[in-house]
Amino acid sequence: MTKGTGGETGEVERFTLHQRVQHVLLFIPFFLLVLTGFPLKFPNEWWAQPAIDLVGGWEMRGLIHRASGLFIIGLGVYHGLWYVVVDRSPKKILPRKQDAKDFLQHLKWLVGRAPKPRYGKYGWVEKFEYWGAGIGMVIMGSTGLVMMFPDWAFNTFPLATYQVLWVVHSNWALFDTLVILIWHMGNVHFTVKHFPMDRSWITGRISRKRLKEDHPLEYEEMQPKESEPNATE
Amino acid sequence: MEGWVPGNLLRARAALSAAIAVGLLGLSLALVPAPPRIDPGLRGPEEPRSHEGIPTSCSDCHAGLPESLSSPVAEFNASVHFDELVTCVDCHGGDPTASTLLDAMSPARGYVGVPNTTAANAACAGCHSIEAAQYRSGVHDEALPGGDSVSASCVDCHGAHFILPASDRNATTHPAREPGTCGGCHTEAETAYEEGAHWRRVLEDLQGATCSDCHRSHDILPRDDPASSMHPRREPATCAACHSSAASISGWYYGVKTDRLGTYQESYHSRALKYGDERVATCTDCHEDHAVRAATDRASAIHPDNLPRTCGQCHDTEYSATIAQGLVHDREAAHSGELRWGTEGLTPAERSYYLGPFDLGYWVPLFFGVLIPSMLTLLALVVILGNVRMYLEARRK
Repeated sequence: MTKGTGGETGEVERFTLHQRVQHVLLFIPFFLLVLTGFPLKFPNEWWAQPAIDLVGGWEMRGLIHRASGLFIIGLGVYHGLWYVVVDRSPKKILPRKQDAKDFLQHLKWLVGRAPKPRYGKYGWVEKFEYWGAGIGMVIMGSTGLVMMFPDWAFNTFPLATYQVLWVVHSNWALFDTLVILIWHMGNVHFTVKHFPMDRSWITGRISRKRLKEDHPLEYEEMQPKESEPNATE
Repeated sequence: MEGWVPGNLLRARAALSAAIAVGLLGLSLALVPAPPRIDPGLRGPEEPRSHEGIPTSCSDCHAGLPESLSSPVAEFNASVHFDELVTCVDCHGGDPTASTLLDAMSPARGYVGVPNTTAANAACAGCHSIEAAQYRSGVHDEALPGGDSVSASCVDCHGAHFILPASDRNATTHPAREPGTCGGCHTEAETAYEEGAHWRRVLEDLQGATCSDCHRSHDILPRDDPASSMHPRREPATCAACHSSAASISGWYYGVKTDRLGTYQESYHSRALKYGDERVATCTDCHEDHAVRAATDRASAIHPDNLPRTCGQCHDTEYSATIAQGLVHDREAAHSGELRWGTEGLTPAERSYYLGPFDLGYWVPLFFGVLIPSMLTLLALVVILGNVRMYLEARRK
């Protein structure tokens, strides 16, 4: 690929096609889940009935919600299996001690008390979102699956358990949605740098200039193969 | 300024604060609600009106006739209509001032004898126009073909001659007698109703709901009519008129819980109903329609022993006794056989029975109540400050 060419001009790959397709296959059903889920949690809001009408009525709401949920569960299983069985090198997304240090330094940087932490391909910002989505899938998927079979659940647990599942499912949904709104939008859409969006999710590419700014460690990793000596040493 | 010495200042301040105190006192007195004035018209029955000048020829004759023709007179003279100066003519026509019997009861003078149903209803409507209009929108009027009574007309419920206000113990519409009146035709409903808690309460102190409290009095509609008070979409509000109104039935007095609608609205049933799914359970689906019984009654459809069958009616599932473990639209607990008014005083075993292990019903919402606002505030701060930093660094370059 483009790896190995130096300088600050041109672009390099940030996300593979495989990753970009999974991203789209994740966020479309996620939107559908939000659209079909919140009218049930907030039935008295003004937007609740329009949302139900938009998706084609009450019956359709449930169908779309369950289908989207099952789809994301399938996607999650596929994604996990891919990195366990096929591509056994997901090292860059695994949390490290350095992420905690980076997080603290990031907080200091926010108030102007430290330089910006030097991130690799994925910093704590991306890891937080990636693993948050993973935990969310497990929580939402497991509680949702149980609630998909209420009669079995009623015969298996006390009703209070079922009600707790509903509280967990609907509150985690609210949490997830707000995180996407604030964290995801705030980091890759509505920022001074990327507005209206960071196009990497479509093109899969990132300019070397931005790579050097935002992911300096990854940028430097690419350099030694060039004629120039490693800048950090 | 001359004379503006500390002593004067002190007096001025004292006067000012006194004025403010008096003003505040006056204001607070003005804000105290005045005791309600009792409308003299509500104090009780008025003086009996004078019957002077009303011809008595009908009753004079009928009083001496055999039972079937004299009892109407006696009944009528004891009725509210007699007090209100309604006369025989108003319903039967004729002319009591005529000199002969044949003239007085001649069709030429408007005599109709026993009016048919349509004529009788029309006679009532002459005065009771609101009730008549309500009746005409109801199912009983629709079911009257031609004018012959196969459905209930005014006199079927109120009687013909011995009509009394519903507040009178002898009235056919008095709470204690109303179920019998409606039960004249609706026998099954009456039998079931008289097994229920509402009827028991009526017998105790007349406070239980009777037929008309749920079905209305005159504009009674079938359950599948969207305007019916018993239509699934309206039924929760109908029951809630008492069962979610501390003003109607206070828990401490009646020993029943009052937030029935609010807790029902938290359920999936209610949410689905709101979006138009009318198959879901509303009040009577679980509590029965006429034989409404307390959860503590072993015969009740919502007694824990009977819940598997009750829920199975719609869900088409063989439920186990597990279905009865937990609270159904009830923040406290009614399934133990005694009413509880809070979670205080529960043994640990009871707490886990009603609330789940470790009182999850309390801790889980609390967890999210803390997690969501704190986490999102942190994330928002990181995002906002990060943008400020990025802007500053970009400008410095």
